[in-house]
Amino acid sequence: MTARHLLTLLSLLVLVVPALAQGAPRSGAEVYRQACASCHASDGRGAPRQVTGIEAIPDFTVCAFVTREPNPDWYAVAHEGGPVRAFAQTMPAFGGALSEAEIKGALDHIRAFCPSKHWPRGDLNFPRPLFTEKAFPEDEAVLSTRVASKGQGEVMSKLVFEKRVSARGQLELIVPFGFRDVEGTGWRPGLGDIALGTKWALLHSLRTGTILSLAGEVILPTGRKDQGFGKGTTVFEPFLSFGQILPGHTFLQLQVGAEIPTQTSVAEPELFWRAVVGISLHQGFGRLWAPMIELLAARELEGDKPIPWDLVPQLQVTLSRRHHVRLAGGVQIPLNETETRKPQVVFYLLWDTFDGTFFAGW
Amino acid sequence: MTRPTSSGTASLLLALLLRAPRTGAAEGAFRTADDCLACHNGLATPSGLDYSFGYDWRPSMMANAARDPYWHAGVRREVSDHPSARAAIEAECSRCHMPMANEEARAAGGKGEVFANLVVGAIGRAPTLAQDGASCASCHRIEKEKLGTKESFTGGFVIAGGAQAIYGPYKVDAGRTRIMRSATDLVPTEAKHLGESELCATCHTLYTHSLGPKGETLGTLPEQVPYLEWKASAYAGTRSCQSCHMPAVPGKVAISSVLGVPREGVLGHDFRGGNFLMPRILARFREEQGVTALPQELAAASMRAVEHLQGQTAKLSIPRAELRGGALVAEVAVANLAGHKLPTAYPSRRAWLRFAVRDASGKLLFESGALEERGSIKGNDNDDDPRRFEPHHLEITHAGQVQIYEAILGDVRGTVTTGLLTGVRYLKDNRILPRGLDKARAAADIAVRGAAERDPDFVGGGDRVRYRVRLPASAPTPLSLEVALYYQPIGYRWASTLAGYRSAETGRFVDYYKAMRGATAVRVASSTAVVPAPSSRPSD
Repeated sequence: MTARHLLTLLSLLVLVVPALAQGAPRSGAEVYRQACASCHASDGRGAPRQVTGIEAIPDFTVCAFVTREPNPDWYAVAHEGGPVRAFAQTMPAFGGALSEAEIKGALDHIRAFCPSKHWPRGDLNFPRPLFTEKAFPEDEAVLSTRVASKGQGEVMSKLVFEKRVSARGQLELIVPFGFRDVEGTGWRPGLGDIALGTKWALLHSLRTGTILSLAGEVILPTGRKDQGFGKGTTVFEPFLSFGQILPGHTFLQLQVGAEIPTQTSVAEPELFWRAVVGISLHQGFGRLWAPMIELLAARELEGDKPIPWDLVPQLQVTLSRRHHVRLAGGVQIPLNETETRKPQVVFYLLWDTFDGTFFAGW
Repeated sequence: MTRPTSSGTASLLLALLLRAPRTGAAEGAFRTADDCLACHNGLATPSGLDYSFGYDWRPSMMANAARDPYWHAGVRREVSDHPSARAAIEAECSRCHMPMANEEARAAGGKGEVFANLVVGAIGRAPTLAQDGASCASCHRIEKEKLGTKESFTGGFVIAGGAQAIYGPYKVDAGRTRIMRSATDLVPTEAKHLGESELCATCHTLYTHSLGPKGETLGTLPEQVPYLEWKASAYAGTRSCQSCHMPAVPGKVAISSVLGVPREGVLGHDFRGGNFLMPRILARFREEQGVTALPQELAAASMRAVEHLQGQTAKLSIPRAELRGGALVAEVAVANLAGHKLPTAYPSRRAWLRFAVRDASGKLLFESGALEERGSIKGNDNDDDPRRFEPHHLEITHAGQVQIYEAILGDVRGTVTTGLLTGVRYLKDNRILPRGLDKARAAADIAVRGAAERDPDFVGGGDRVRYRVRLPASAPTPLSLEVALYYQPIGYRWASTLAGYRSAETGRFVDYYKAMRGATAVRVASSTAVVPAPSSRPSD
């Protein structure tokens, strides 16, 4: 054996022996049993108060709970403890005692307590863009407002209530309202066209990072057309929403659909498509910043009007520690027909109702 | 006032958004045991022996120190006897029975209270801390400072204000330290004093100040001093309080169910002692007393106390028994296996000998020390008449005499009393001495009082009593002797005296005691002997 061979062998020993001494890495199930089970119980249902002294421990077998949030939130809580998301302090910080791989292994084990594969994982729940409809079924209340910066005065808001009704389904109610500077009469308040909607996640895969949903809305003519608050006819709006995880915490969301009025003499049918790319930037384990850029287009099916294109740079940020209250804002910038279409400021305040009351979790 | 500019508003909003996330804020110096259970329950040895600290502690007298109805009645009685000293009495009693609430009250410039914190289910920090009794944080936060000194006695323990160290016998690594700190704001800190007797001595060495009618101090009474008894015994330096009352779990085991690492010499937290009675009372009346331990846990605690009493407390033997001149002469030897007097501490406790002789047909010929159903001892002067007491006996010759190992308090006039703040001295203290305690050299606070002082058989480690009983000549032989040592945590006189007070607490406890008829005492040790007819017995 040459000196070079000996050196190589020694180098290998130096690398291999400590690894062997540390033993095989613990499996997620093992980490869960050693670190989590005393409170969360080996079956994930949560140990009783008599055992832990803790009033309410979440039940990991409830799919609606265990699938809903993305991994970074779970990881943050496991690493930093409950208070990082405004949960109970009794949830300790394991960041100093468990490696990243061990925590992630335990989280995989926890996720597996949901026996159903129908529930899309929260990692496919991308930040909500200002216009593009998400594919992920949600429990949210959103108040969004659009303000015309130039031209005819308009401040229009809409309240959106989304309620998840099953693993894949969601119902939705949209109530628009606002003020318009109506020619000749000045600023007038008004109710817009109230819409009822539903959504169904057709397919979702965490492996490929994909989610696709079919959705539809019925827009009722509750707003006055003559004052610009409504279209004056019932409109059906079927659409597909798509989301895709991209490398480096980036994501893509698409929405393609049509507006089909029941009276084409009153409103034009049109196709629309929207796309958004963005990135999730975590401020340590705290706030989440999500800059996005959205491209909007719509084409009336009759006539030869040019397709209006808009670009919407925007930013969403979590306000509450729990990340259940978020603020987003951006500017809708027309890319063509800029003579008639002016930039508008758009923003929303979002409350994820599943994660607690509005004022909890700060 | 100038209107903020839009850029100023934007800057403010940005600053708010960029601020570091808040973390949980500390609530105060103490945490209740509930905050400890999650990580310190669910502990079992590989063989399946559960040693969960929470389960073990929960039915113990430590956990129920503030729920103990006898203590409630006792404090009420003292407050009734000495109304002008009410605040001082409550402050002193709550120091060890409600240590966390007491400490926080003191830190806030006030005094510990008892009755304000007794309402079951009361909401609020003080009653919550109070009812947690001698809880995890109260012992594990005691500093080494002053331990073992007289200053540390009578609840003179020191808890560092504001500090978040929580002491234990082991070194905890950084990762696990963070786990504990994040969940409780407490930092596990290695400290050997947690395993030393001096820690226990802070509450289990109690001097009370006897008060006169106007609240003036008449004297000081060593109300309970097991630590001093131990210190004068052969056990000092070799066995600690913890070694018997918190026996180590066998093998290497974890102290936490969350990422626990195996450690040697982990102490159990059941705090076993001699009080088998109170867990029984708490089990029967747990709703009324707001007890969190389950009935089966209380039953197990009571059984553990009985096992402890029967296995590690005393041994009885009859080294000599013979018929001589128509009389049975027998010697009974009692050995104290404990590291302190038997019984020790609170003076309501007593142990006594029941001695019975039966003839060959099983007929009872003689009996001394029979337990009566109401909890009294047949033949005990003090149970019959609160002004009298049964003396220590060197020899017992008739059924009206009984050897009772107990402490009898006397007031300034020498009258028998059960009032802790009325008693100024012991009229009788023949509690059996631990091995190594020399009564001739014992300090006044642990001295033997009464006839036992002059009893040559009453020595460190035990006592010998002679029974000389005249029997009917016609009694068929052989005779069988039965001797048993009984133990009662609350003697009949101590309980029945409370019936003379008109208060909810005293009335409740007297009712409880009555409800425990026949279950207030246990047999700790026993021995038997057979005495043949005189003709067949060997000569001296």
